[in-house]
Amino acid sequence: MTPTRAIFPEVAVARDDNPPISGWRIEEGSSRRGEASCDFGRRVLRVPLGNDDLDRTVRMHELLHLRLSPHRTDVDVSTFDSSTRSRECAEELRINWLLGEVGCDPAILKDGSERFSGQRAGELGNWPEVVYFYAALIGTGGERDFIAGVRKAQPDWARALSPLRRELAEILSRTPLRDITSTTPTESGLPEGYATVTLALARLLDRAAGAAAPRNSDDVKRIKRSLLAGGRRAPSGRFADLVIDGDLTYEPIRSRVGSRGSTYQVSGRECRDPSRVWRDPTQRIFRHRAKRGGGVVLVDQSGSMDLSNEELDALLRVVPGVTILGYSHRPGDLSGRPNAWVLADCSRRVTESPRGNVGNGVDGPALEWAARRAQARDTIVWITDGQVTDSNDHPSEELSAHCADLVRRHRVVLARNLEEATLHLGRGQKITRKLGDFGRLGRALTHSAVVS
Amino acid sequence: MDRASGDVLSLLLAMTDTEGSARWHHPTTGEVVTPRNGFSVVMTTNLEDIDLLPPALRDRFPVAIEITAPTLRALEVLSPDLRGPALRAAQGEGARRLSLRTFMTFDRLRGSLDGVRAAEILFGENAHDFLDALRVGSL
Repeated sequence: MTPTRAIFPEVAVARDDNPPISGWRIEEGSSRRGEASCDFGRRVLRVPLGNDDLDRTVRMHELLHLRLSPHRTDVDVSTFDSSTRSRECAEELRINWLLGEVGCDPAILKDGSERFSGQRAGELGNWPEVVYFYAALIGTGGERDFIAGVRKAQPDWARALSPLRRELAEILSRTPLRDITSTTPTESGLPEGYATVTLALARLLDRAAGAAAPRNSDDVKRIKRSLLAGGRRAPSGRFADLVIDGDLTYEPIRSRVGSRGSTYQVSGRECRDPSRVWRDPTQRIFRHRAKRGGGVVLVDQSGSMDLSNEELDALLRVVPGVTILGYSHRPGDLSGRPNAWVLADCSRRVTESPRGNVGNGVDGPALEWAARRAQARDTIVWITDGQVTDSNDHPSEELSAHCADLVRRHRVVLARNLEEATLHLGRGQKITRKLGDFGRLGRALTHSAVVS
Repeated sequence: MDRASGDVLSLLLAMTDTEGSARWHHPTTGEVVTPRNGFSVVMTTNLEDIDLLPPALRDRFPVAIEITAPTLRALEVLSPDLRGPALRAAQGEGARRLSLRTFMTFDRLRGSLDGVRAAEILFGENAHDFLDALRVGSL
């Protein structure tokens, strides 16, 4: 349908960051959720064209996106330190917050689906989505209905949303209006208001969404404390997703041992080079294919562990065919930043070993990766201090037990450092450590051995 | 130029062709007007599409410059809060393109009436959309 209403995007797009002014196309949308948008890439403003207050408020909402939201597509999102979903919802919150400043009442924004959405997310146990979607509804007419829906399915969740709202509102209230609406481009290419306000809101949302879903009032209190300035993140009770860095540079391992080359011995089945009878003083004429060292080594590179280049070199000299995966997750990070690195594989090694991200956070997924990667008879060695932590770097008995289970099932050999792994894989020396040397994991292994 | 009648257009075709053809015979006085040295012609038009000009006439102007925005000096006649919107609105598509004259009238009218009434007079049923866009722009 061709819109008949005159919308004036060019008049509204008063920005300081070289915005796209001309070429906007208006398409008819509706006031239902998801049916209005501001698409900077295609320069399409999709808005309802009716005359009622709801349509007008939705139009203003989209014009505010046009006026304030980031429009560049070449900005490096990996530096944002927040998840995509949290940024989307935090931006909705900022825009809704500003509707009052342009003479609109955000309480009008409501499409009747909010109560069901809240209840459904609660029934599905999707705590992160409850947090994110709630932020997008704060101040709108749908907020109360959404909470009512959540409360019906998960009463404790609804209680935990209240301190979150307070902290989000605090950020917006204490920031001067000119800063919230600033479109001065920052170094990263983002408008200043988005970079300082929206990203701060998004980080807070990730903090709440990254916590384990509250099951009682203690959990609610823990989440509340974690949202305060300087507060520690609440336990998440789960591992982060394993994200392997694909942008590392590698160099071939220069080592004679373990190469595809051959050695000659005085006995054997393959007399490959008879001329060695007179060329070699010891007359080693039987060729033996050099054994190619294999195995998978997992290296916990969290703050409590250390990986030196010398130790890595020593292992690769002896077992060049080994696959080494280093891992360490940044506590609370939901941005998709890499938290694992293939340090060596297929007779090549990283040019420079990446540093860890402070926490563990992905012990379980890393073990599962190693189990999938290991071929028959390959040994998996896990260099660990025995501390298994969740994605927010809280120790967890349940996750430790899960890792202990993986260790038993895949016969993973535990080591405290690369030197021990080198001796074990290269020379077949048995690691003589006690389970007690591996902290919580060791205890979980002991317990499971007793139980079984 | 696109407003010129057929006779004038024929004359202009001759005047803008070559030095030899660029002469005009005054029908009453008999005076023959010929171009001086350095004679050149600058044509302006409000046509959206330059290809709508007769091809022969268009061919006589090797350089064409599209001006999409009012000059900054022209904008100075407006109140400061309307200069930015007027500059950007000149780049609007089709009916959304608002001339400097529209903004000047709005500015003048809102001086004696209130802004809403001024917008209603100028934009009719779209008055509130115009004011809403101004409000968002001024945030």
